[in-house]
Amino acid sequence: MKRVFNFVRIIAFALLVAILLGYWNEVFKFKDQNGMVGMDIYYSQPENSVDMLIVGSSHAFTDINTGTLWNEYGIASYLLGANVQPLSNSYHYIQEALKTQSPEVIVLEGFLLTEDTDYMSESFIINNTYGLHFSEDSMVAMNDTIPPDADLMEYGLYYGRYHSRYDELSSEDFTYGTTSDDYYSCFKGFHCLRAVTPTEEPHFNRRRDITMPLSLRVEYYYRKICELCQDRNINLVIVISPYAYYNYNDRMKYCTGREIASEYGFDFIDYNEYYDQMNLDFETDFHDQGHLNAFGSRKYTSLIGSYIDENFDLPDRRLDCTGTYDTWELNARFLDFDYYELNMISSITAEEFFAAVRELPDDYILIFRITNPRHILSFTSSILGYYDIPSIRFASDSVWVVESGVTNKYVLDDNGLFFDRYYGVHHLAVDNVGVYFDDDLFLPPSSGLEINVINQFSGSVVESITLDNDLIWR
Amino acid sequence: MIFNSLQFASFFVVFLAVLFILPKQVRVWWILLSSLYFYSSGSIDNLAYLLSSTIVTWICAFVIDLVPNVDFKTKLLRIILLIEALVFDFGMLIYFKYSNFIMETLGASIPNSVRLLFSNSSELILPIGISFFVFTNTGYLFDVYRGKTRAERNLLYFSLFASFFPSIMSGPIERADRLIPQFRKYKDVKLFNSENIISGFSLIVWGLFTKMVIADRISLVVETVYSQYYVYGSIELFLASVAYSIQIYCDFMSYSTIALGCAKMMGISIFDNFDAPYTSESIKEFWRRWHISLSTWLRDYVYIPLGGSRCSKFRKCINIMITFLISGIWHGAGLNFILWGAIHGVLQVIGDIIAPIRAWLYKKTNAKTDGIGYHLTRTIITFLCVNFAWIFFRVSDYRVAFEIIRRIFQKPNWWVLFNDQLYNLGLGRREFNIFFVSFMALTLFDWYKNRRKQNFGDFMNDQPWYFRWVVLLVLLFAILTFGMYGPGYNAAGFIYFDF
Repeated sequence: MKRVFNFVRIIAFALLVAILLGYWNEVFKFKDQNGMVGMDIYYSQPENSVDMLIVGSSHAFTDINTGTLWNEYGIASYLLGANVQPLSNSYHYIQEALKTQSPEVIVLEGFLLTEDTDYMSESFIINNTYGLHFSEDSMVAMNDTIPPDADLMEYGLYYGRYHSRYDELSSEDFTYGTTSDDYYSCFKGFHCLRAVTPTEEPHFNRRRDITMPLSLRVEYYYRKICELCQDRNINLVIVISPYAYYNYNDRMKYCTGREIASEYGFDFIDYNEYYDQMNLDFETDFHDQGHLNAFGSRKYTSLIGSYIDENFDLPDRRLDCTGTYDTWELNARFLDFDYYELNMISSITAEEFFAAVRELPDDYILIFRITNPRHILSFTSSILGYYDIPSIRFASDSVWVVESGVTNKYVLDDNGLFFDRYYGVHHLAVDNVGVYFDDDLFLPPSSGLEINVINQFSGSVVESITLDNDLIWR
Repeated sequence: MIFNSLQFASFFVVFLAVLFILPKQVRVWWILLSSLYFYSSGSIDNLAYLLSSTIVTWICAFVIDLVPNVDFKTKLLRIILLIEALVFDFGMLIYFKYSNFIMETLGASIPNSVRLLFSNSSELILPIGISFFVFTNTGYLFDVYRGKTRAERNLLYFSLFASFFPSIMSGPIERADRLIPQFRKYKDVKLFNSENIISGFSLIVWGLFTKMVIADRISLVVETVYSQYYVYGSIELFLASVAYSIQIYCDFMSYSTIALGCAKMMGISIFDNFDAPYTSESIKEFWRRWHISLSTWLRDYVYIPLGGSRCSKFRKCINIMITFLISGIWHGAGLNFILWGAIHGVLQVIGDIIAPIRAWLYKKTNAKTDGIGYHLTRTIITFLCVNFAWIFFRVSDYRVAFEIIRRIFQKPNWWVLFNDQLYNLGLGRREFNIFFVSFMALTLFDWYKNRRKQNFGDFMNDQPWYFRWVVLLVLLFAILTFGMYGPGYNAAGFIYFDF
């Protein structure tokens, strides 16, 4: 009897270790949006709910906006992209994706048709494979991705790669996958970029008949993708996203890509030919030379959506009442925030800033505090008037909080606080020093009218500025 | 295949699982096969050296045991057989380990015929564990020759004794009269014994913790400072020497602990090679606690045959010096190792000489010798002496050791203790904190071990199951999280693999 008890105890201990290790692995695993998270979360999508699958490199996951596809056309899309995703990985991602979903359309972003290197560097290999859940197929994908002289064991044992992340763990690592209303719970693979870099429009020869051979490995997997879609009766569309360093060599390779796609009867659209149609502004719509920002991705995706809408019969899932598509609605809402917030944070003058602030939906809270009335000039006064805040002298004993268009005044309480409230799990407090959001302190950068813009839904302080003599201090 | 690798973990799990289900009669065969596989996993060539040493030793010992020790002829025959086997075993060791050193040191003075023998000395790869299995086998030969033990007639048991995988790479250097009887009776051993499993598993986890969390972490400081000793001052160099003392202890102790744990899990008891050595209060005591299997081997087969301490004081000092010089040479082919051995020898001789003077001084000054201050002072002085000698052990050229020592005394830079410069020696503040907490856990256990004479496995066996679970979980997750492994980290093995 004692022997049995001892045996049971050893088994129970082994089980406990296994369970804790599973949890530990979830905490420590990479949560990089440049590839891994998109694939990881894909597994939790309701079966056969994705109507359109998008695969490709960063030109896919930063440019093709799943929120716009939802908002404008009701398309339930999912983006399986990764940094510098080679076509071999696009192929394996599609294979993995088709195990649980039956998309009618697959959009392949074809920027990597131009790639000449057969194997990526270590970080890109990780980005392109660690989202795949461990299986025989994931090891095949890994083996296909790593250079022939690399050790599969070194890459295949995921935990060994990230166990030393203990010095970079954040609350996100512990809550990832456990809440139902956060960014990740509705993530659809699109990563919105929020910066503006003025670029120049590329000028290129628009002839389509001059081609350049693709690298052997690229062509091999490109054809495998085409064949896979053909075999599975899936509509494949190859698109090339706009980018500013588009050149003649790239163009020739895309022309080869177009010829191969036509062999299989698939459309190939180089959207660099359609800057005017999408009304792309190279001054404001790019995050960097290669990627669109929240403004650009909306315009570009709108054009893709229109093409999909015209050529394929995808259902408008906004009409679905089963709750299956709630996460797409939520995802679009989060992505709208990116648009509003980029609009606001990219503003340079006080006038531009308030134009952006006025557009904000009710999810935002505005906190006003006059720290120096003498630095408040006419425009700032007009803003105060707009929000029913009196521009009184020596008004440092009050803060004004605007929620859902309603302005409330708060004075110092006995605890030395103007304002103290919970928004779900997020905590907002304001005292004489500054604004505390989830225990992070935001200090006014100057004196005048201090304004904090808080997104209570996503739980972030979006802007913390001071209007000083009608100038923005960030 | 090293103990802190996934390959070994897989190997050991499969090995144990098969061992537990095999019929009793074939278990020993399975251990032998596994041992040979384990040893040959690095290089199949090594297996040939191990097997040849094993067979020659077994045959010679067998014949020595057969020949009665009665007259001159038989005595001569026995001694010829002994020398023959010793020449074979030590010859192999000298050829692989010292030929390069001999060529470099003696150079032109070597006759051409001998030089030819060592012509490819610079290309020789030292078979891993050769120093250990040669000492294991020769120790057995001496025992048989002296009649302390009978020669093992069964080649299976002897082969297993010579190649037992937990100890083949880095010891402990086992004794035949201790290990072979366990193999003979192995079919009667109750394998699924929870005490053995708990104790063995705990020892393995503790060994991995000291290796992967402490030794490999502090090695970063050692590597940083020793590789550029010429840019550092007193404080960094002294701290790096202390760091190396910690590293080599944790590294070697961890190997022996894991070996002990593996053997324990299969129901076999081997030497516990370390007994909290840095708590020693003299060099003599240190050598009773450090690498015990080597110390006792040298005591039994070198020091005592030389006359030991039952001779004149001068002769005893000579015996001590010879023993430590051999210990130094055993550790490596280099003047630095010889100097390291010599330092230990000299320190022990000095310790013996001044012992009565010290006692007289204590008596005259009425100094108390029973308080913690007395013991702590002696422990610290002993540690500093050992630490000093380790400088020679760590460097590849003895001149570097002298330069480091010179800089320690001549380049004082106290200010680095007060700014954050010490965090630039390979361990940042966070990494240092992890090291410190782990090292404190080790110190705490060594203190306990010193008092209770219990190894970690036995300690865990005495605890209630819930306490055991918590300790093991903490250690396991410390290894998994803070252990130095994975890509980017070169699991270079254990320091004593080089010896």
